[in-house]
Amino acid sequence: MFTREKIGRSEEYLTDESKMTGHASNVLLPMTEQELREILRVYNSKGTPVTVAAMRTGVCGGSVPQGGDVLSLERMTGVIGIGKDERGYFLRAMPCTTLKDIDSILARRDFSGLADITEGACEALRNEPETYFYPVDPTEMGGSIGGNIATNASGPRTYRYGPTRDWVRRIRVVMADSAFADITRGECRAEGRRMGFAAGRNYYSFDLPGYDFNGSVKNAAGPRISENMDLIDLFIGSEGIFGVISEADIYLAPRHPLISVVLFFPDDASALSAAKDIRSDGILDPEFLEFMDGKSLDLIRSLKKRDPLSIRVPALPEPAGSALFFDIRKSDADASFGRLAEIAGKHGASLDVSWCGHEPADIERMRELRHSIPKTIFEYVASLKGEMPKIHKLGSDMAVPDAAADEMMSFYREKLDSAGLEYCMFGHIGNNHPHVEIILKSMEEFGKAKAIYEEFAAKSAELGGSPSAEHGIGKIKTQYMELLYGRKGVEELRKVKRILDPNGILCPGNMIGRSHEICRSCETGAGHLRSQGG
Amino acid sequence: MKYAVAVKQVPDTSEVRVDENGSLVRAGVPSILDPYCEYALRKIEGIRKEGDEIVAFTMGPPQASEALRRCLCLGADRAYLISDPAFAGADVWATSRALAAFIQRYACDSDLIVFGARSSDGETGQVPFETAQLLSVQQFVYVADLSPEKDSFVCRQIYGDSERTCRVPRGSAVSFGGVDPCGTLMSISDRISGGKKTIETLGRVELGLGLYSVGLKGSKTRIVRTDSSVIRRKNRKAVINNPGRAAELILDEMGAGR
Repeated sequence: MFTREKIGRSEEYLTDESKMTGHASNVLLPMTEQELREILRVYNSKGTPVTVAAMRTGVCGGSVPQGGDVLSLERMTGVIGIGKDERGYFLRAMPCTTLKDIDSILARRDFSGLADITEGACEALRNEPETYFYPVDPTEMGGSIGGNIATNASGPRTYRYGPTRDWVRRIRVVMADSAFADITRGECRAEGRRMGFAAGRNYYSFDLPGYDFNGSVKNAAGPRISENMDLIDLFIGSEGIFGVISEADIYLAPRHPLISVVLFFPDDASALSAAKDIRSDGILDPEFLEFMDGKSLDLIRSLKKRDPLSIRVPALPEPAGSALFFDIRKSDADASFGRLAEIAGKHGASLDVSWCGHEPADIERMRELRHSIPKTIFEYVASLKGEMPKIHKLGSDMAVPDAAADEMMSFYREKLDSAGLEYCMFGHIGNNHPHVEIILKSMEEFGKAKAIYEEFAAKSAELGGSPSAEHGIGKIKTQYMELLYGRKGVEELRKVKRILDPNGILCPGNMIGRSHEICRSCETGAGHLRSQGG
Repeated sequence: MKYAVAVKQVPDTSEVRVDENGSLVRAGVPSILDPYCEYALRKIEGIRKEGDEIVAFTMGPPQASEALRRCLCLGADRAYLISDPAFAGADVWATSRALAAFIQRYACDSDLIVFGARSSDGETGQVPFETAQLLSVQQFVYVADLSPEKDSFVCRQIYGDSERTCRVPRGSAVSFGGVDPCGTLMSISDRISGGKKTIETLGRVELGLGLYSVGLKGSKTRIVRTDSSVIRRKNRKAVINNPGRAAELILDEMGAGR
């Protein structure tokens, strides 16, 4: 038995942080993998779609239902145990365990009640001289680990540690027909472009798409397709369209004591050229490198003017016209501060007004400062919804290679300035991935901004980058799949979807649009599902 | 002017949890400079003039030097760590006695002895009073603002719904009544200069205190038993548009609770 509740007028299951709204009849609330399988068995037999949701912190509408029911994993939460293999320690968790909970357990070394996945792992980790942590930091720590894996989430620390994919050891996936697959990295690979794997009594065998995923830049546009790819990478970043993650093992890394720094500059140009120096500096070697432009700082100032306690940081220094936020290792502090003084001097920054924090509370406050920018914009867009129901947040999520970074930045400014739109830029400058948030005021501006956004996406693809570097595709950005992989590439992904989910019940509308609306005669018969026995 | 600022290192209470036995779980909880003490230090830093000196001091284990290091980065010129195994288990009386001994021997020329309102872990708020009493100096509590004059200070005290402005003679003890919710982020220059300053450690013998004057042996408080209380709340929602009737309902509920 599983719990099913009527959604009625409760809208919280019909939206996510994109503020896009959908429709569904019921919310399904499994507590165990057994209940999850039971739900999928029943729904698959009826052909009723389910949209998988967890903490609904996504910004592309991936968990927003377009009919059918919502499959909320919110009750499948908690850390199961700790293990260790040749790469290092890993943590096993239920899909809706939040990153905050994982971080808290690891910071406190509170492993009471956790299972030893490998013998003595909990005790060994407790006795390690350094605290361990899960290093992927998608900014939103309230997100679930299952959601992070399904979207291959990344964030500021991708600069040092890479995206979620690099830290996933194993997943359990419940397929649309309720069979499950236990997939450990390195245990099942494609032969060229032919993939085959067993799940329960079924054996799935199909051709992979012919395109190669662009891994040279930060990229969250679909699964990492390549020749001889690992099966686990088909599910990571697939946004729930191939199967539902019911358990995951994630690797951990030792946490180095860090000092966070906010370096204030007179203008954006100085900050951006200092960012290049910091990135190529052998001494500073930050774990992340974030940019806040002058307009972002003005946004924070106006927010603090309205409510001084809205962000728990002191008033920003008045001459500051731009800022970089990054961290340095505590053990190298003296050398790093010396180098920082040189870089600051060269680019007009002053160490007298720039901040540093070496206590966790200070570091958290600086993080809050950076996070307040998108949060304020989300809230602003949500406040417009009453007057303009069709409006949603429009912020760029494009990353480009190093060589194209300046060209892309100029393109952003040129287009937005000539259209007379108000905007601010902030984010992951270390990965050439700033977020350009357009501050909308009317539906007319929304229309204009959407057209410009398409131009940004096309330009990033033309420069060898990704139009969806970390937010994923969801339902809002499906057109970018075709932009990156062509019509053929998307159609090939749809064929894989039709093999793994023949009735199209899982997360319809995500990533590849409505896969089952495509004429089945288009199929070449490249893939098939074979029943093993029974 | 010379200011002696007493500070304390405390666990970051926003991170502290209570286990199933009602005990505080401090493992993995970071220690911080008490926000009340930091607020007091920042207030003094705000009024200091050229030539003034700020001395920060604390009683605590060796790791309390991290709190003093923060004080040095936030503007203190010198720092003293009062640390000795014999000080362990001190209650407010034994703590005040050690602090008073330090002031008499190392900071007796201070124009002002400064405290935060209380510590965010112990929450007794008694140490400023008892230290002032032991030193036989005047004390001014709940201070909101302070300004130096030629031979004294003027302070504004806030007692809930009333305020008082009064003159503070040199040598008095003051405790500031607030905490800065936005906290302090130190500048990189201050961090670099604060990192170069030294912290002097003083033990029981340097303060001239006997074994039975300090720590658990010198404490007057004896903890007989510690219980954790479980508060059960029954929530009820009432929508009342008339403020007078709403107040009556609250009073009735409070009366019923007694």
